[in-house]
Parts: sequence; C-alpha cells; structure tokens
Amino acid sequence: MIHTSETMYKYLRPDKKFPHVWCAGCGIGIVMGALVRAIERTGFTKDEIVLVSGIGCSGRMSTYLDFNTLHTTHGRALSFATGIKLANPELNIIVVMGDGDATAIGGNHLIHTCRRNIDLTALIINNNIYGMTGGQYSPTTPMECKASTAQYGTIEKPFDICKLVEACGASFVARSTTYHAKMLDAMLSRAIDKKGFSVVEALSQCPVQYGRRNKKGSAVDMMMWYKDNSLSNPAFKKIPPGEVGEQFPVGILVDLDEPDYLERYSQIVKKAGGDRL
Amino acid sequence: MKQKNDDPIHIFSRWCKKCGICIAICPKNVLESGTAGYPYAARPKDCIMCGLCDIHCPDYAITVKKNSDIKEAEHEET
Repeated sequence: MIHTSETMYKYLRPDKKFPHVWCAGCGIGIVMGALVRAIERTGFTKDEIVLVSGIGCSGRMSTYLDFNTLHTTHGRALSFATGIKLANPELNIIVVMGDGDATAIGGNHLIHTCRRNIDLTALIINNNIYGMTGGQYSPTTPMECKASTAQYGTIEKPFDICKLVEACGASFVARSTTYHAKMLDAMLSRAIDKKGFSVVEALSQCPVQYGRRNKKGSAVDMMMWYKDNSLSNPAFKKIPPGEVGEQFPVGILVDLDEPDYLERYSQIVKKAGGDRL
Repeated sequence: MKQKNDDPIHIFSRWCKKCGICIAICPKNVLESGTAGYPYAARPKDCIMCGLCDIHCPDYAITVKKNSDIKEAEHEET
C-alpha cells in the first residue's frame, strides 16, 4: 500500500508554507494526493514529469509539487503543454485545469487539443464553480444552482466534460470523484501511460463557494452524494435515457488506440525528406 | 495530541483543517472529533489498516502505520 501522507512528503516543495491554501474539506487536496500516487506508481522520476497548470484553485497544484512545473495564463495551459511536448517529446506532461479554466476560458484549446490527439494527460478538476474568484457560475454549474452571478439559479445547461472531449476525439476519457480516490489514482496512472490525448475528469467538492450557497451540506455530505449517485459505465448504460436523474458514470469511458500527433508528424517529416522530428 | 503506543493512526494536527472527512470515511468508526475539533483515534484497536482516512485526507495530515514499521524505519535511519 502506498501511504499518501508519506509519499506526499517526498513530492511537496519543502520551501512552501503548509497547510496549503485550499479551504477545509476542499477536494483538490485529495486529487493532488491521487496524482502523486499515480506518478509514484508509474515510476517516472521528478525530472521526467512536467506539471502545467492554469489559473484558479487547481492552478495552485503546480506551486506545491516538486516536478518541472509551469503556472500559465488562464485557460492556456494546454497550449503551453503542446509547445513543451513538441520541443521535447521525451517528457511526460500532465496538465491540471479546473472546470472553468478548461471549458470556459480554455474551451477552444481543449477541443482542438482533443482533435489533434497529442500525447498529453489532462486532469480536469470539476468543482462546478469558480471558487477562487468568488463563486461565479461556470459552464459546469448544474441548472438552477445558485452562484454569486446567478442569485436566482443558473438558467444555462451545463457541459458534460467527458462527453465533450469524447466527441472531440480524445483517446482516453475517464471520470472519478474524490470519494473514489483509489479509483482516481488508477485512472490517472492509466492516463499517464496512455499514448495520445487522455482526459481524466475528477469531480471534487467545493463546500465553501458551491456547497454552502446551494445547501449541499458539508464536504462529507458532498462526498457521500458522489457515492450515492455514481454508477459504473455498464450499469449507467442500462438506465433508460428518460430516467437518468442526477446519476453519472464513473470509470473508463473511452479507450481508443489511434496514432497520436507526434506519430503523424514524424511521418510527414519523412515524407518531406527530413531525418529529425 | 499524544498517541498511545499501540495506536496505528498518526495525526499531524498542525496540517489538519478539521474537515471531518477521515471521521466519516472510516468503515470501522475508529476516529472521533476531539475537544478542539481535531480527530483522534477513539477506538484504535478496531483499526483494520485499510488506509481510507490516509488517502482521503485533503491535507495529508493522517497516516496509518504499524508501530513496528516505524521503529524499523527509525532504526535504519540511525
């Protein structure tokens, strides 16, 4: 068994102040633990991993972890990561984004990285709200949920991130929650090993900005909600389409074997008579 | 908080934010909230070392380990 707390001490930057900035009960800490366990399991050294993050609560992750890290502009983490991958294809790049970062500000970057199918791992932490900036509604806030910019509830339909990236052509799509932390690190290590663009959506509770406004209870209640409403993908498919309420599938949703961008690019280089990637 | 010698649960209260996830997630109901709100092992003998509190702690403030393991590790270091 890999002890999270013990493993964390190896990977946290010693010069940072702890406890971290995330609120009491925030799920991002659990996701960070799962990410570290996944990296520990894949066996890469600290120098072989690049952690790229955008802006937001989840963007703080690159500050705390002792890999090659890059804290980039809002929504543009995937573009920076694409550049790093093309410059040095040997590196393993993990892109950490929040739901607003990935699907609102960086929505275009996300769909086009999926379409390009470049060998990156995207970890999208979905807490249904913009936590750091004061609780504005994000593209994944469920209908009729309150936010600081939607005092009477949102009237916009939310994104299903997994369906979105699947439709755009990602090779590997998985979803897990903070309640299923052990499954989350298994999904992440699969995603890191996978060639091609892989997306892992981690549902994470925001007890302060989202939970308190919508009377979802404490962090524990929100985690238990994940437990009660999650289903495995085969069990989810058996539900008739009209009867799906708040349930959502967890686990591996898409796993395709397709040539990635670098493979196609090296073929083009050969065609043009070059000898380098 | 001082731990008993046979207690496998080690809580680093300086990093703990008292969110209560470890108390709720324990399948054997080992942990309880103490006077200051920090969790403590009320029934350490019931612990089955599953490590669920360890992997669900957002602040990496709890470790489940056999005391013999720790003693061995300390012995190796010195």
